[in-house]
Amino acid sequence: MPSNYTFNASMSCSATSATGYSQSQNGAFTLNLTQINSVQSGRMEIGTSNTEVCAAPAGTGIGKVVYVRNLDDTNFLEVHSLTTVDTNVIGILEPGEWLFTILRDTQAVGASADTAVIDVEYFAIEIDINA
Amino acid sequence: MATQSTTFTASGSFSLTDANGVTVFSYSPSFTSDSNTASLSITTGEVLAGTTAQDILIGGEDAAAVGVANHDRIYTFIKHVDSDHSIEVSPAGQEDGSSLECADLKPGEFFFAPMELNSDGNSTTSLTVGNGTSAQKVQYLLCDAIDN
Repeated sequence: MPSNYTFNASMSCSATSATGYSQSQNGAFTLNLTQINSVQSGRMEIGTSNTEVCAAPAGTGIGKVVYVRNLDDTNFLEVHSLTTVDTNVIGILEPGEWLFTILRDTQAVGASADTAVIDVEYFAIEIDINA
Repeated sequence: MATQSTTFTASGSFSLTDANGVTVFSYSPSFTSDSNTASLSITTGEVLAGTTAQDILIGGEDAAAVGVANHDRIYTFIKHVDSDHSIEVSPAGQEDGSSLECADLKPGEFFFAPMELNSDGNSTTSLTVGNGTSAQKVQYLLCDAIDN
């Protein structure tokens, strides 16, 4: 049964040079989601071939919010749109790094590990046309 | 030859609450990168993402210089600060409906990723923000990351 949710996001980031020069930015927003069919979150293993993180949303004008964090100690992780490794890459995550994106399309989001299986923390939420 | 060392720190808070007020999940990730001792630039600013896609040149370099530098990985924070229409974030040359959109942002929303700008096999080395309807203001912070 579809449900309604409220999604809150905020983040801050800064880039700093060894000289002391620094720049920072931050953001925050809320999405009110209605009639949502799919909410996924938790931890999963990502192999060296494509592993689906977010299934393709079904419907017109909808999309997804996706967060992925690389929990591995040594290997990097690739996150991509669709299902093909090394194609349509959204981000490359070194150990401990994460990404957050919103995509208003009906494509799946996949991931692949560099050399060995990687554990990731993730969430993937379908969003409706009004979000 | 002089070198530049940079670090990047990101922290976020994400939560989902259902219609009964129950928290479905809550995540508060953060990381600080290792020092990139071969860093090329910290770039920040505000641009107008127009109906003709606007390239964000890393460190203010022209396209040829960026191509030679091959930035590879870039910590990328993009925030939609206008009020009307959504914008697309893509590696340059992949805008306008390409499957290589990295984000579609409505007003107020943000995108963050360690992007791999040359991962599409066409030597893309800069970012593009665009909008199909009317120009929208976008703020950004980019920092050269250690290559993978």
